[in-house]
Amino acid sequence: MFKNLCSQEQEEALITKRTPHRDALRILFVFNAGGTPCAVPAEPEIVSIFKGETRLWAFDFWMRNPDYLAAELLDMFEQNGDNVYLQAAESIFENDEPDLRRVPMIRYLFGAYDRMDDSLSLLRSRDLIRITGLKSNTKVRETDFLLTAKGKEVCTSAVTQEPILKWYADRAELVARVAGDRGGTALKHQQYERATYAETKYGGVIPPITSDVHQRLKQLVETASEDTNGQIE
Amino acid sequence: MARLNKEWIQSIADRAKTGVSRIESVLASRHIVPTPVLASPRRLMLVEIVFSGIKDGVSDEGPFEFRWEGLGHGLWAMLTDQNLRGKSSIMEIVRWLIRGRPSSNLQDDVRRWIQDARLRFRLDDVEHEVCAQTTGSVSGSLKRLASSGGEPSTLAIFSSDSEFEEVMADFFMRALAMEAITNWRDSNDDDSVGKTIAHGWVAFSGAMFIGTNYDVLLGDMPVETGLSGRLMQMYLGLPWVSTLAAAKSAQKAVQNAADLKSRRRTQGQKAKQSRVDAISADLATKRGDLSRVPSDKAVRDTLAALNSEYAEAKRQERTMDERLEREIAAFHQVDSAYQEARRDLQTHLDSMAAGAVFRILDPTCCPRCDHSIGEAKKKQEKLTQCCSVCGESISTSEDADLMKDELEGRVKAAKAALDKVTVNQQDALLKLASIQKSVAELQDKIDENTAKLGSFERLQELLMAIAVLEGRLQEASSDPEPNDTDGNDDEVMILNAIVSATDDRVKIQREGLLKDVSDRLVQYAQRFGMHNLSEASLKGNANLSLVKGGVATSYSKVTEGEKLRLKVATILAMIEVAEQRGIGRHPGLLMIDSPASQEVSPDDLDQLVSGLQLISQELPHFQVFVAGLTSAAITEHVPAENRREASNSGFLW
Repeated sequence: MFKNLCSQEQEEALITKRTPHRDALRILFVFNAGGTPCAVPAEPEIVSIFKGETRLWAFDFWMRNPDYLAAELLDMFEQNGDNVYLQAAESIFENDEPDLRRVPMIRYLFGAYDRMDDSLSLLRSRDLIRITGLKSNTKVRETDFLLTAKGKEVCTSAVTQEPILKWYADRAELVARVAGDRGGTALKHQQYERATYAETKYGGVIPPITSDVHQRLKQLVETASEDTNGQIE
Repeated sequence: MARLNKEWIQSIADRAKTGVSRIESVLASRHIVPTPVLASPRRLMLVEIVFSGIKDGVSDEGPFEFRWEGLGHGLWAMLTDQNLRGKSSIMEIVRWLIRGRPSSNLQDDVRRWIQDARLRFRLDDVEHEVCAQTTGSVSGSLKRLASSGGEPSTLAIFSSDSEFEEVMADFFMRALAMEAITNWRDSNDDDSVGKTIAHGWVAFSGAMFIGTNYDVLLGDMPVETGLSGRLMQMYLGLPWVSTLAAAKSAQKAVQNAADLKSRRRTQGQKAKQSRVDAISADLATKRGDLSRVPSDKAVRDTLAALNSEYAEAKRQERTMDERLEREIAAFHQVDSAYQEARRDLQTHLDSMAAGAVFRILDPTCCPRCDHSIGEAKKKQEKLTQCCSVCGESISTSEDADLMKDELEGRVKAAKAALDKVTVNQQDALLKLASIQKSVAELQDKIDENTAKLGSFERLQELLMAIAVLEGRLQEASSDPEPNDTDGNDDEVMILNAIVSATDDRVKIQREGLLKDVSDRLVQYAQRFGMHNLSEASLKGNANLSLVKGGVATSYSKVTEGEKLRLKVATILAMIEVAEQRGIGRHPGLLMIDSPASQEVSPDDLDQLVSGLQLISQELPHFQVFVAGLTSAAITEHVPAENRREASNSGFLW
């Protein structure tokens, strides 16, 4: 089923298609799920902070490439044997997510990259987020994203108002679990490592790895069911 | 003589229905010589017997010499009053000197004692002398003595036993105009044909000596040799006899060779028949095998049809394969379109939902500069529907629902198309599988039939084997030597003609002759005291039938005394008849040994000797010596000057 049917033209069409509100909301869910609660005395509206653009790109990469996320889930299942990860990976494939939810990204330097300006502007203009950072002289060393209480509320109300958006909320939570406490650079390296294998085919576009992951998933499911049977016996 | 020969050959040619030249060639190759006329009889008479030597190992040891001179025609006797006093030895020594070979009757010690022996004899009117030094091996000479008392001429010398025998045989056979008797001796072995044996002087001379064995009527050769008849014919002096003997001998040789060939041929026929039988059996087996092998054509036809079906099936398989490829490509294409439509729909739905969320969120600040948007700008935006931040129109697009419908339609259409191509692909897959199944089945059938083709090679082998066997059978059945016996048939026929032509000539003379001899024989036997013998019939084979006391009997059944008298009577009768007819061959010398030593009564001897006495006076050329114990019978009939006697247990030498 998952044959990575997209041609390069289709990939490019996917990249250039403008869906600003959807992209902005996805980012908002990421900030909500991946942020750290914080209190800023001068700005009492702030509820949490998401540190670094690199981390944002890493999160967004997993949001936009369910096959890569599934690969991480399988790694985690292999590491700690928690069936939750295996089931999550299975669910991704059962729902055809690698085909339906894929939003291709360009590889830039050593990681996934996309211009976030439009999405961030949409979020900022509604005061759902605030953007800050560490600056030394004229150079921005780190950009941090602060989620406002209003932003957090929108995350909740949006799912109520438009249930179809619940997928983004749930997915952001899952990605946050996969990412854990790791910083953007660590996540970027991890993703880059995996993407490199398939890289040659697609040039700038980070290629899908759907078939490989699906194959691996099936083997793991078989092995897991055999183990289960073995335990029953 | 030449005329008689010509008549004889012509007679043979007529019988054999063959040309004279062919007859002559057979006569030459078989050494058959015509003998229409025989030379006149020659007379042999002993004149002087002398021998000397040294005795040892006996009571009268020492040198000795026996000399008996002045011998002539008539009856002579050697007498002793006891046996083993030398009378038989005199006779054996004479025999030795005449034959050139001592007989087995010559005792070994006597042979050893003698150092010189000499015999002077007269052949017709010419005197001859044979001298032999007999110490160890024999050497000596045969001389012809001049009638006028001149130097004797040496006819031959000899220095060994065999030369001695050769010299004497050659001399007497020529002198008496005798020919060797050829006789056929059958082989004991099935694979050879026997051979021709020539009998010469040793056999002939036997008719001059009557020893103490009376088994045969004439001569001293054993009965088994079958020579009596021949000897008799030779002594009777019948013309053609030797020719007949040679012809019969040749006839028998050829016949035996033919028999052997025929035997071999029969064996060959048997072997051939068994070979023919073996080949026939083999052939029957192979033909049986052949009938069980399926026909070549049926399987080849089946195979051709199968191959054609196979080719068609493979073509269909290729076509279906290509269709399946197209269906798969179509499926991928449609599937891709379907996924794209679904993705687009999802994206659209997500975007619509996100848009709805943002619509109720009014901007509070400029994303560019972060300045708050004042109430005035907000009112203005509501009035003008222009963005409070950038001034652009914010009228919401009503297209979203339309686009949603369109996208949903696309998804539905794509799904329908996908279902269709899926069905098509499944159909192609099923059809391909079906075609591949029939291809495999056809392949199996072809393999199966090709395996049967293996039996075609066997069929070819069988056909070849049958052809070979038929050829062998034909070869084995044919007769390799159909005209093989032609040459022999010709020769056998000619030899038969020779025998028959010659036999006719022999018979003409023999029948009358034998009758005369038989009649004379009866007279002599009666004179020797066999008064009850009334009839005798001498056959060509020397068998003698008798009628004695009115009862028919034969020579072999009478007493020894009678046998002796019949032997002597036969010789005398032959001599006399031959003398009258001028054809006889018997030289007229007869030596009879020790008649009294056997079952011959003094009366018998008396009668024999008295008879001989009378006959010797009647037959002018007859010389007879009798050796025996001194008796009145002999002394009465033999004049004292014709006797050598030893009395008072003395020795003759």
